Amino acid sequence: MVAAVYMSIFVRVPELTLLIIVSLVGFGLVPLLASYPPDSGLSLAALMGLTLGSFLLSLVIAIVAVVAGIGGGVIFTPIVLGFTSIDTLVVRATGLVVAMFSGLISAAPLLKRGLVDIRLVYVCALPTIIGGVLGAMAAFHLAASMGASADALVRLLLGLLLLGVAYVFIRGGGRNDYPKPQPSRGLAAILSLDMSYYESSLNGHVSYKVQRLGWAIGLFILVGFIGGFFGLGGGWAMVPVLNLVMAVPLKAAAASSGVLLALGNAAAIWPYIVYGALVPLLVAPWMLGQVAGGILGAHLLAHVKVRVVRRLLIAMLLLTALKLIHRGIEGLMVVEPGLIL
Amino acid sequence: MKQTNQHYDSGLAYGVTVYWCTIAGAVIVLLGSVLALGLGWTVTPVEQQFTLVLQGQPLAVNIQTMSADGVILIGLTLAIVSLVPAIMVSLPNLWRTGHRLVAVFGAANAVLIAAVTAYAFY
Repeated sequence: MVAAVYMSIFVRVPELTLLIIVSLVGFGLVPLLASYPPDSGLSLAALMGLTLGSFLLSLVIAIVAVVAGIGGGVIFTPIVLGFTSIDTLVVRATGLVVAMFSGLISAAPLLKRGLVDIRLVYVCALPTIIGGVLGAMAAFHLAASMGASADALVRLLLGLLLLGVAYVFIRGGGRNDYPKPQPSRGLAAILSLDMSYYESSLNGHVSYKVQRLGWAIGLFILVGFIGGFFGLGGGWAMVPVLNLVMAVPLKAAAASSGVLLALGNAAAIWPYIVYGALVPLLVAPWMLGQVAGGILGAHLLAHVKVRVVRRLLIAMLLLTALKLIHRGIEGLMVVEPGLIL
Repeated sequence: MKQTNQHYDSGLAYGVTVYWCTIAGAVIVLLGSVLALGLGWTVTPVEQQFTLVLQGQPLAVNIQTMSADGVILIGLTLAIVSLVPAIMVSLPNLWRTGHRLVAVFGAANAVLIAAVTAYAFY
């Protein structure tokens, strides 16, 4: 079944097939062209292994990220920060690229299917962009002035916050999959944000009205700030805000979150580039993997049941929370032993 | 399932513009990667870049436009900056269909992204 869906995507989306073929041919040419001096630090095989490994891992992350609507940054950044010694600013810059590119490429298929409403994206993107730029700028100021202890403490608090969000999703069960439509009030009513999308698993349209837009705007500034600061993107929190605060059905929330991420991070990435934290050669395979995986994920999302999306989201939230708490405690113990022990 | 909402076309215009610009950006990034890994056309040698990054040393890569690093950055920039024209092409339909305040939000997004990008290059 899944294999058939995959095969039909490759037939229906020839540009994806072409991109993967061109990528394989391009990287296949490298060993024929390359001639590294024997005393160089890394062999060609190691460089190719790193590049192709990054591409494949990015592809898998993008598929999961688009289906769960969380953005790849929240998977990439904790994993790389946890298991490698790469400089944190370099990881966070790459994390933002990972977070935004699956959202960029998946926008068209998701908008075409009506899963995402562009009005919702534009309204929510503005506070996210503002928060994202402030967060990215704060990351550099704090790295220069306050050291690692504040960074570790925020990681710990963020991990605890994520645990709470995961708990709400677990307790909520299926009740938040399709929130009951209530009349919009305030800014949401002025913008007349009443929407609907076709739910293939129900074989009918699902209607919804956006709620509590004022609260959501404030939360999106916060989400953008944290996403820009940590290079996580922010998709991990966008789905809960869209679903639990704004009463957007879970599947539409997951789809909208990815598209929103791309816009939200488009400005936050620039401070990292200006400060030289973005290493193009390191970013390239991750970007390519996100593009190919983003297309695959967007086409798979329409075939996935809401229950699967929710379980995937809970698993991702718990995994990320535990990792962040672990790193936060670890960081505080190293920096300030008396604070924990 | 065919969508009948009037603003549906705005979303489609946005999505299609970003989609093709991102694919074009990906091809340029791929070209840059092959030029860097295959021909070593970088200011800082490829193997040195990777060694420093993996050792966790802060690395401010010297990016020149006429290098593989520059080509990769051009590809990334094309995809990111495509958001600005994508938003702009979607706005007239939103405005015509009565979603004027949403169109103002969209325009503000485009201006913010364009301003931060221009500042970065400046």
